[in-house]
Amino acid sequence: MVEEFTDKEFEMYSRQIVLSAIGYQGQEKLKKGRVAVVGVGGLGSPVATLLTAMGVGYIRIIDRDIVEVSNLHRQHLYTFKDVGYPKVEVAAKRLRELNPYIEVEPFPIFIDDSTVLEAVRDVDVVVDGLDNFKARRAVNKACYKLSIPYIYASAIETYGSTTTIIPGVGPCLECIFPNVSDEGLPTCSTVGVHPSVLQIISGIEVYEVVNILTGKSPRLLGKLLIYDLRELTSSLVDVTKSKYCSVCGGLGVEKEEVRYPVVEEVCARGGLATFMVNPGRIIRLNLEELLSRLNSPKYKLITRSQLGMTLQIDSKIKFSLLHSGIAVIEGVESGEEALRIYRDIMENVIKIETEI
Amino acid sequence: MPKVKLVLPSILACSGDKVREIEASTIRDVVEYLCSLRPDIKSRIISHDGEINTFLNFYVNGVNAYFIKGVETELKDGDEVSVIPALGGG
Repeated sequence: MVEEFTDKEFEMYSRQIVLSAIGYQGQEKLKKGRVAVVGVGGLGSPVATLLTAMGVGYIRIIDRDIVEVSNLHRQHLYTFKDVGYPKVEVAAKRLRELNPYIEVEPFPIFIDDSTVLEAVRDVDVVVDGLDNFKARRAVNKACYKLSIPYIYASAIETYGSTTTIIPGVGPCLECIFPNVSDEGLPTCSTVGVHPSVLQIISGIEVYEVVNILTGKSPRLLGKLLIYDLRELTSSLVDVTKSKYCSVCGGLGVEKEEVRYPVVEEVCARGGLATFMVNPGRIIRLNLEELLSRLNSPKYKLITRSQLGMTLQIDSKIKFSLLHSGIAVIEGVESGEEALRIYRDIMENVIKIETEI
Repeated sequence: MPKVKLVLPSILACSGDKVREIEASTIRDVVEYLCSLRPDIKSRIISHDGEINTFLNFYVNGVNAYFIKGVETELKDGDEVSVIPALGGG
């Protein structure tokens, strides 16, 4: 049951309500809609902003990252003052300010097979704001299992691509890009990405979300759109479902688990080696309770935010912990050292079994 | 050798023709053609162990060759082969 629009909402959405492609009934359906934006980086930031401003009733934003200066040229949910804070926390605050009439839920987690089913549960559409195929393959499998439409998109340099996946109806991501690995693929940090191509592709993703939520046929079902900003051209390629697909082909051959390593090196901050530790499951920590246990002079609280906190450990190590159990550790020599510190704090100070 | 219609994305064709006719008996021949067309990215097309990198997909008349016989997929006169790279970033 959708409540009536307030006068402010009605005014805010007036240009969509008069738009024949959406209309009053479409706007009501958007308000009822529930969407998960997986990744709020280059693609996910504009996707989440548009969906919020357009009045989609519930938006879940999922990302494990912390805001970095190198994000700011294309990820406009964040500003310099947000550097060092969890992306989903900053994004949720900005999005709620943009539209106080919708619900925004932040999920500061890794996306892999251990977390993805919980992350995308109970939504009508999942939108891709990811930057790697490992996580996309996990999302594709989960969306197939839960029968949730998934808007795939990616962008690099001046190119972008997107398609709409309706489980059981058209091809899934594994049909289109079988067995694809991130190994050997250029990334935004190595070859760059033009912010304009992100705006174009994210705009098309949102168009498809709106088509689905308002009961219209998605335009990119069974079609992969590839956009080239340099030439201002796009191509639409027919893509087909395969009966041999390891995810949706029905042969039951999908065995591979998509899991992140428990510890991985991420972009160095301030010249210090930085590692991220993945708890391998979704943990829900009570940060207030944790802070009360951190009474050792060894740990000094530097920052405390809604979803996380950063501790200084001796003079050179910074330990940032999100309430989902993810930690970012700066100033250590190796992944082993990062993991040792993580286990020590979690098991001996916070008293939580880590299982890693 | 069969003559096939090769459809390239602009990311691979650069400023050249995106649709061209080439001679190819199998997808392997198409890969060799791509390597000669773009020697600058040959190392991205073929990985260090000699396998075709998984980001490149070859659709034969709308069906991904991965689900036919991979690089050994046979081609015949008039087939349309579209090369579709998976883009990784976002």
